[in-house]
Amino acid sequence: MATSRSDPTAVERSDEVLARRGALGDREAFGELIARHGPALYRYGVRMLDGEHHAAEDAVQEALIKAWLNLSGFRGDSSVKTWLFRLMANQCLDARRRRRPHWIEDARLDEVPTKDTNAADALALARELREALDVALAELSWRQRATWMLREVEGLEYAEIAVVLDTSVAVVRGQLHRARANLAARMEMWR
Amino acid sequence: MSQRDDLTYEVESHVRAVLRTAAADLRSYVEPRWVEVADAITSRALRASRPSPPVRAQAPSGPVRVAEQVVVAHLRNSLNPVAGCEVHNIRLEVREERCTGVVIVVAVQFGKRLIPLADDLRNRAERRLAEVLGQDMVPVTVTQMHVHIADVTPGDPSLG
Repeated sequence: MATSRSDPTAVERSDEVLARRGALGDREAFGELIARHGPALYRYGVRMLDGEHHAAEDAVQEALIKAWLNLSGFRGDSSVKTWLFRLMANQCLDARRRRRPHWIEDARLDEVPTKDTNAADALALARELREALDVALAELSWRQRATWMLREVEGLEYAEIAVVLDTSVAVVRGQLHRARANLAARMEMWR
Repeated sequence: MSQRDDLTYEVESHVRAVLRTAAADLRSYVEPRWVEVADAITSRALRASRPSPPVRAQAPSGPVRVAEQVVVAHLRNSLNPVAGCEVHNIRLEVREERCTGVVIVVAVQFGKRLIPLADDLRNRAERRLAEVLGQDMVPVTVTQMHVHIADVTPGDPSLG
C-alpha cells in the first residue's frame, strides 16, 4: 500500500476508510485513493487499449468520474481496488467497441527485441523486456490479456478477476492458463 | 528423461522465469505519461458534481437552498476530529426541502465512553448545522439527531 510521499508521519488509512470518507464528500480522501490506484489503472488501460495513451487517459478519467459519482453506492461487497478495476475494465471495453478495428502490422508481430548481451545497463534490459512483453500481450485476445494483467501484474485473486470481468472463476482459470501458454510461446524467443 | 525432454524442460523453466521477471517489472513500473497527467485527471474527476436534493437554509440575506451533499460534507468535517471515532455515514432526513433530522452512523474504538462521545458528536453536528442552514433550521433534540454506534473496533477506526 502506498504511503504519503509528502509527509512521512502521515497516517495510512485503508482503502475502505478513504472510500467511506469520499462517499461523504471528502475530496482529499478520494484524491488519496487515486494516488494509490491511479498508476495501476492507467497501466492496465494502456495495455488493454494497445498502447494508445490518449485513449487510456480518457478511460481512466471516465472511470474515476464514475467512481466519484457513485462512491455512496459502494457497499464494500468487493475491495475498493476490485471495484475501481471493474469500472476501468468497463471503460476500456467501451473504448474498444467505439473505435475502429486496430490492425497490427505484420512487421510488429515479427518484431521481437533481442537481449542485448553487451548492455551493462540493467534499466535498458528491463525496458527491452517490458517492450517485448507489450508486443506479446498485444497479440492476446482481450479477455486473456485482461486476465493475465489482473492476475500477474495487479495481483488480484481469481474471484476478484471474475468480478472485474463479469465472468466466472472457472472462465478466469481457463483464460489465465491460455494466456500464460500463449505468452510463454511468444516470449520463448526472448532469450 | 531424454536429452530432448531435458532441453524442453530447461527452455520452459527459463521462459517462465522471464515472464515472472517481466510481470514483476511491470508491476513496479509507473508510466511516465501518468506522472504528467495524474493531477489534471484527479482534479477533473473531483470537479464532477454529484446530483443532490436541495435543503432550505436561512442566510442573513434571506432564504437559500443548499445541496444535501454540501451539508453532509460540512457535518463530516465537523465530526472527523473526534478521536477514537470514525464516521461511517451521515443521513439527513429532509421533508419538503426542510431538514427535519440527522442520523450519524459511527464506528468507535473499544474502551471509549459512548454517552459522552455521542453527546460530543451531537453538539458538534448541531453547531455546524446552525452555521450551514441558519439558526432557525436546526433540529436540536435527541430525537431529531440520532447517533448510531454501528461498530466497535480494537484499534483506531479511522485507519480501517
